[in-house]
Amino acid sequence: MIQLSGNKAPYSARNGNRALFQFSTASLIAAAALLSSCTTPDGNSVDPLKSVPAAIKAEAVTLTDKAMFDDLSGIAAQVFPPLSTTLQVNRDNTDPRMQYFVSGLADKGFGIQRVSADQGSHYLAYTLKDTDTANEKHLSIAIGAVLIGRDYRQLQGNAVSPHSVVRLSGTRTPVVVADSPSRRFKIEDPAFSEARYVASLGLDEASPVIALITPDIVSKVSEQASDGPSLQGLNSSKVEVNNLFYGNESTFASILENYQRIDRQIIVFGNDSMILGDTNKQLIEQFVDGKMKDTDVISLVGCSNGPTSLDIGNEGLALGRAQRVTQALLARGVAREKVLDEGCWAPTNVGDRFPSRGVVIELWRSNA
Amino acid sequence: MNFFTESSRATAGLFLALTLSGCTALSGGPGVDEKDLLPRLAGNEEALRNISASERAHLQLIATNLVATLVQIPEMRPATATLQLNKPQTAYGNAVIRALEDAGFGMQIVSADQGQHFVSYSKSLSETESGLVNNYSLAVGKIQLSREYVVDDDGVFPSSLLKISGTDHIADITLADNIFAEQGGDGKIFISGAQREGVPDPDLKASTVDVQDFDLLPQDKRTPQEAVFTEARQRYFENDAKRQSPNLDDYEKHRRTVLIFDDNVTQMMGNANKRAVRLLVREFSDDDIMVIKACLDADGRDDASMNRAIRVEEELAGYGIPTESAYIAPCARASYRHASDDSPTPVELIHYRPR
Repeated sequence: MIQLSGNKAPYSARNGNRALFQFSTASLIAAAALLSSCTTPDGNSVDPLKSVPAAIKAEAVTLTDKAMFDDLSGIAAQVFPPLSTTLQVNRDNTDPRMQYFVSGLADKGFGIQRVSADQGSHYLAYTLKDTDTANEKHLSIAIGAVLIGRDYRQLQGNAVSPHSVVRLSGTRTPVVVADSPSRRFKIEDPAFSEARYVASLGLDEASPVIALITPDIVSKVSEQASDGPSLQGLNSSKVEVNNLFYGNESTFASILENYQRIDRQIIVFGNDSMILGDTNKQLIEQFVDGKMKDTDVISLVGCSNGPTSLDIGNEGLALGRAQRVTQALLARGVAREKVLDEGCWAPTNVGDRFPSRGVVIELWRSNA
Repeated sequence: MNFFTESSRATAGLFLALTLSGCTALSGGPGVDEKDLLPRLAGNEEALRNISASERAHLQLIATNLVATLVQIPEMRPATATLQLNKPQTAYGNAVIRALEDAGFGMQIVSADQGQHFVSYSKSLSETESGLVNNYSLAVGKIQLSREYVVDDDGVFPSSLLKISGTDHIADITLADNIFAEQGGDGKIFISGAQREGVPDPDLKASTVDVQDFDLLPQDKRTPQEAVFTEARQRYFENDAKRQSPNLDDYEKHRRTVLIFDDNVTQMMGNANKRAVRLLVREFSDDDIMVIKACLDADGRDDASMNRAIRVEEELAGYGIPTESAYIAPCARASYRHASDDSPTPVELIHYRPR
């Protein structure tokens, strides 16, 4: 399997392009050898490739590569408004594919910012790899936390055909996959001309803990009885959250100040269980697909109140349930930062405030 | 297959010819190559073709001088400002756009003069009592910079103060005028300083720069454009850190996270750190502040840690945290960390809220 990433992609020769690649490589080596005697007036040697005009370097991008990048840049322009979005690209990136891709995005109106490392909220990268199926490639582009990917079949005559739907993660923005056939882009199966929202592969990526350190918390921790339920726990994003057993105010209340609640749903779990089950999955699917807009946020409270026989205790169960529902939301393309998950846990019942073994999901919409 | 063979021969031949012709041009004398002046976006190769390498070097110096000033103006932080531009039609236009790109601004091609930060520029020649004077100007939105330059046998040198209009923040600006001295000169003197256009300034700081033969540096030893911009941006952050010191007694801590950089020099934050920043800024409100504690150097020199702090501040800016709400904390030495320690390096990020 060949895998190229946007930050380090060398040229890869395939099929009919192999001859071109091999001959050009030989020529490059010859040119480099000839230029090895080329020096500046200061006696410094010259990097032979540095003087190659961009137009010549761009030849390394095959026609099929171009067709694939053109396809996904069209999707990117639907997810992000080009005229008000600036994409960040590593300035040392000389990969011809990335240069071609960036040039296409700039033509669509995106702002392009060359950064020294990986700065920015819309840092651009791509991965192009062969799949396990013969003559099939998978292209995935990342713009900040949003991933857009699709499989393509390589056809005769330097053409490609989409061989999967467009998969999006980290966004719920509606997109139209209007595949238009052309000389380089053939449509073999119209069923692939649609978008599907999926979970990001970086779901369980280790990230730093974000601790809650308000003076109130600090003083409560010192006062806390050793045998009571804990005051805080880590949610699915490793953000420390309050145990809502001790109070009604959400840890994320400041975010929700500018939102109003649109809908509420309770997902009930089995006793001592974190298994979601088909019915709950369906409820979540309806909740997201039927009601959620891209600018909405979802708050959820995982609950475990009452005796449990599990070693992880009520805290593990409550936050585990919240995490399970979060995963189901992310699997529908909801961005991680749009999910505000917390928990309520205690070995005793809390009355009507929260369910004993369930997750309360609420949909919030901006007042603006 | 024949098609590829033919096209590959043609490509290879063209490539060989171009690389060899490039060799000749580079051996011809000091100066700047076309590719170093050509913008990556919307570059106009044709406009650069008819000027010499030394003329290109002059234009690069002028563009560097103006843009290094621009990045120190608070409204024009490269991390947050996206500039709108048209395809350049002149060599000076190419030099300006390339310099803005290299300074780290976001660049957006527009069809007319759309945008809040539309880039315009001009070069005019005047016949004055002092001889021929070239006035170069650069405007981004309402901010305008202009300066006169003269060209002689040694190179290009400023012949006026740098005039700035459209901003009140020019007190902390330091001009990158040392780049002209690197051309050398036999007792040449030029004036250095910035003034607000049309506004008398009693605190005007102007000086003269003496240039001698021994100041001459070979082209490849001169300060690279990228280093000039990095230094100018860093100067802005250092001044910012000195000027603003919030009274933390008026605030209480809300959240804290520790970002881990892979080593002491890298600027790459990686997906995990970036995600932590994204999650942290969700809860940020207008009156809140973020404090960045990065300096852990044991030897008292905190260049690397300052760079990391700036990197994090830029990341925060990218997520909409205003410049005036993010502070780089003064250096607090960690006795356990040796100066040569290249192990993963922490940067503490603390979210404060008003009491």
